[in-house]
Formats: sequence, structure tokens, C-alpha cells
Amino acid sequence: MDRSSSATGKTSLAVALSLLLLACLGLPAWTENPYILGLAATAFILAINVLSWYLYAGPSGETSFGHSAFIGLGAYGAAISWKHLHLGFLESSLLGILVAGITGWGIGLLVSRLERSYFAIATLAFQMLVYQALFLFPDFLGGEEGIVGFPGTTSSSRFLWMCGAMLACSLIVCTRFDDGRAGRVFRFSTHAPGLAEASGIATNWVRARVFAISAALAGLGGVLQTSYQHQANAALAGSDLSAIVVLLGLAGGRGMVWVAGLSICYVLAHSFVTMRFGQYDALALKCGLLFLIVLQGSPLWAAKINRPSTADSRKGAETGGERAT
Amino acid sequence: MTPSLLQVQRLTRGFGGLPVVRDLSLDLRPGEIVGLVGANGAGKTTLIRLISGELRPDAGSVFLGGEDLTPLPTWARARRGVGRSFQYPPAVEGMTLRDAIRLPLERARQLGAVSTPDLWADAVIEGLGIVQALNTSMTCASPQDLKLADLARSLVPCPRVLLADEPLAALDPEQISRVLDMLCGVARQGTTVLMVEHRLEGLFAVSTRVLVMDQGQILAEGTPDEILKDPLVRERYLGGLCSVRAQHPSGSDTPPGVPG
Repeated sequence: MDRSSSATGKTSLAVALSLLLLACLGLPAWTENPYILGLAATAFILAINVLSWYLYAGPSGETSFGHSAFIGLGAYGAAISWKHLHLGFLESSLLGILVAGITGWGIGLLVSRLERSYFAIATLAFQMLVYQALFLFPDFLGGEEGIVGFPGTTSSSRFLWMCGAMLACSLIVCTRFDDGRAGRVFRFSTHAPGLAEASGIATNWVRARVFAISAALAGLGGVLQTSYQHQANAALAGSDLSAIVVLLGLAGGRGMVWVAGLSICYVLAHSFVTMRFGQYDALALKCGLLFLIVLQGSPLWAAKINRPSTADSRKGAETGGERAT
Repeated sequence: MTPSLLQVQRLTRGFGGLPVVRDLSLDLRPGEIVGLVGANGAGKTTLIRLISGELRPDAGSVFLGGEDLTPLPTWARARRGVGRSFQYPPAVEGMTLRDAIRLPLERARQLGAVSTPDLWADAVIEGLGIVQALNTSMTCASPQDLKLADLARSLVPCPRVLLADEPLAALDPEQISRVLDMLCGVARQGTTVLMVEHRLEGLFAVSTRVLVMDQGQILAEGTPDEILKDPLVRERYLGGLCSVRAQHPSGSDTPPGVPG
């Protein structure tokens, strides 16, 4: 990473954190309306979810279509710990994040050997399995309604601060990872796996580890969403949420701060469009995101995908960039 | 006689029923530079990939210092001292040549696999003449700088064996001279070099031994002079190139002084 881009990244992060701080302090001072504070908190949660997706997808260019599975696992992990293990809010939340992270590590070991469409299909299949599994054992998982009553904070402004703090931490972790040595090792492992392996880097382990961190962050988003709506339901692991996460991640594909900012803008725009135009809002906004991706050139470009040229790929054995599918 | 460092025993590998490496055995001793030549498709790169662990053999074994490497993946072999440089090293966006050289080394140090001093890394970078290009992004670097940086990457952890896949291809005479000096230097320090190369003058100038591969097997083995005189090699591989002579690009018949 050259110095100029690293300095730009630090400036963007500083601006983003300042704006975040301003929003967390300013909004509760301006209004006590729980709808507005809740809306801002939801925006922060979505930003965490999209950031967690981008943590893996951004540097690697691999598109996971099943990210909501980890959001759901985090949500249900926390809700089950609270309801059936009778743990407190904090312990349940940590357990939820842990469940998502550990599952992410296991799945990461399997899918990180794959690339491009194979990776996308495998992650989508995993999401569908998790989604279907959440309707099994209705006595335990609550069926369609899910697990209701998960605790949250009593005040909307406190919840907003909590979400803001979590988003700030996620942003710092993600940008530091992207700019730091760990991010470069990950980039090396995904774009030149042969070369990385020849340098003694266990590329599958590296990729699985990053996938696990990405899943744990998604689990955090799931826990916060469950705490906000006091309910863990299958919609948190649904394909709708995955689609939004992927679209936002691709559309904001210029870096971590962009991704987070666009996610917040999306939730605010969603709310505005819903109030003004009613039922077609979701479709209109998804089309808008697709348009944004097209404007950027292509989804692949947006995801910073950097593949060797076709001619390089043909060289096959001689290059250090070959990877099994 | 010095005991072998790298032993390849009856290695066999085919692709879709077509044997590419057939029942091949070889021994490499510490500090020798072995040239591996042969026509395209003879199985040279496949052999390198089998030794480095990128490919699994259908049969046979690879030993390093008596340890069986055959079941180990590439990264584990690299940590045990099997270095590998590529014919066409890929460029990674967002990384400079310095990152590409130092990152694997730092990573290996983190894991306690390498304890190379920084001075050696600096000497390799300087010896290969890429100091000026170090801060260039990999995607903007010239293919020659990428190649030299890749060779530096493979050399800085002080491998016990270096598998160099066409290290001289696409380089200019001065760069070739630097690479050959460097390979002689690391060989004097005990690193064994197995070098696949089509630029025979350079290869013959530094090799202590040359292996000629043909159809997945060793066709001939000997000193550069013996290989040049071998009628079978002249017929099957050298053809019209019989006038080739071992000569270092600097002009002398023997390798010049090397860093180290």
C-alpha cells in the first residue's frame, strides 16, 4: 500500500469517525423521537453488516451471497443463549458473535478453496441451508416467529450510542486490517496464492481466518439487530438481507468508509421513500443500487477485483497465481 | 562424497493419462547449481512443481535432508527451506515490490520459521539491482523488476534449495549477470539451486551439473562440457545450437566474484 493512499485512508477514517461522533451526540440532543433514533441505529447496524461482508470481499474480490447466514447465526446464537441457557445480555451477545465466528471459520475452510462463481454458489447454498434450518425444531427456535423477548437497552439514545460505538470499532478494525500487514498477507493469499504458498504462507488458513472475522462481525450486526427488535427471526438470515448487503458492498466498493457511508445513506433513503411512495420502495432502491454499480463500470471493478489477464491465466503452471476451483 | 540434500525418488506424474514425469530420480547436493534443460513439454516445470508441492505425484517421493516432504503442502515445504521463483510472477494490486519481498519474510519470522537478518535481505535486493524500484506498485512495475523482486522474495529467507523457473527469461544482459552472480553467491553459502532455463550460455556458465530432460525422464547428466559433447543430447535437444559455449554475460568463461 503506497503512502499517499494510506494517508487518504486515514483522513477518510478520521472524517467518518468525526461524523459518527457528531451523529451519536447530536441526534439525541436534537430529538428524543424513538423512531428517528432507532432509524439511525438501524443504519449503523446495516453499516456493520456491509462492512463485515466487505472485509473479505473487498481485498479478495470474492462475492459471498450468503452473508446473512452469519447475521442470523449471531442473532440466534445470542437469543438461544439468553432464552435456553438463561445468560445475561452481554454473555449472550458474546456467545452469538462467537457462534457466528466459529461457524464462519469452519465454512471459511471449505469455501476459501473456491473462487468466483464457485465461491458465490457455495456461500449461497450455505445461507439457504441455515435459513431452512431455522424453521426446524419450532419449540426450540420459535418457528416463523423466532425467539421473542431478547433484551436491549431501555433508552433509544443509549442504544444509538452502543451501535455507534460498535460501528466505530468495526470501521477501525476493518480499515486497519485493509491498510495493514494482515490485509496485505490476505491480498497476497487471494490474488497470488501460488506465490504466497511458495513463500510459506498457508493461504487457506489465512483466508479462513479472515472469513471467520468477517462472520463474527456479521454476528455482531445480528446481535444488535436482535436487541433492537427484541426478536431473532429467520428474516435475519434471509436472502433479502444478503442481497442488500452484496449490493451495498459492491456499490460502495471504493473502500471501507464508502461502504459504511453508503449503507447509512441507504437506510435513511429507504425510510424516506417508504414514507413518501409506499410499497414499491424496496424495488426502487435496489434498482438504484444496481444503477450505481453499473455507473461505477462493473460489479467486478466495484469489488476491486484484480485478476491476472486472460493471457496471464493461460500461462497456468508458470505463474504463481493459479488456484484450484 | 557429500550426502544429498534433496532426493527425488521415482517420481511419476501424468495429466489425463499422459505421463509428463516418468519414474524420475535425482540427487542434489548442498551448494551445487544444477541446470535443468529440455525441450518445451519435456516436464521441467512439472518436476519443479512436484518438488515444491504445487502438484501431488502419482508415485514417488521427495526428501529434503532425509525428511519425507511428499505429504506436505507447498507452504510447509517452503517453511522447511524449499524456495521457488516463478517464470511469470503475478502482480497484486495495492502492494509494492518491497511488500512482495518483505511480507513473506516477516510472516515467516512471525511464525518462527525464519531468522534471516535484515542485512541479508538488503544485500539480495542490492545485488539484484532493484533498490530503485522497491516502492513501485506491483501493477506498475516492469516485468523484469517483477521477476527480480520474485527472485529476491525466494532468496531472502535463505532457502536450503531454490527451484528457479527460468530466472533469466526476459532479462537484459546486465540483469542476467546480476542474477547469475547472485545464484553463485547463494550456492557458495550452501543453498542448492535447481535452475530450469532455456538461455544456455548463462546456465552452462554457472552450473556444476546439467540434467537434460526428455519426455519426462532424464536423458543425460553431466558437466556442461560433457553435455555439450553428448551426441544424444545434440541430436534430441541442442540441434543447431551445438556451438553454444558456457560464457558468463560479463564475458569471462568462469563465474565472477559473487556477493556473500
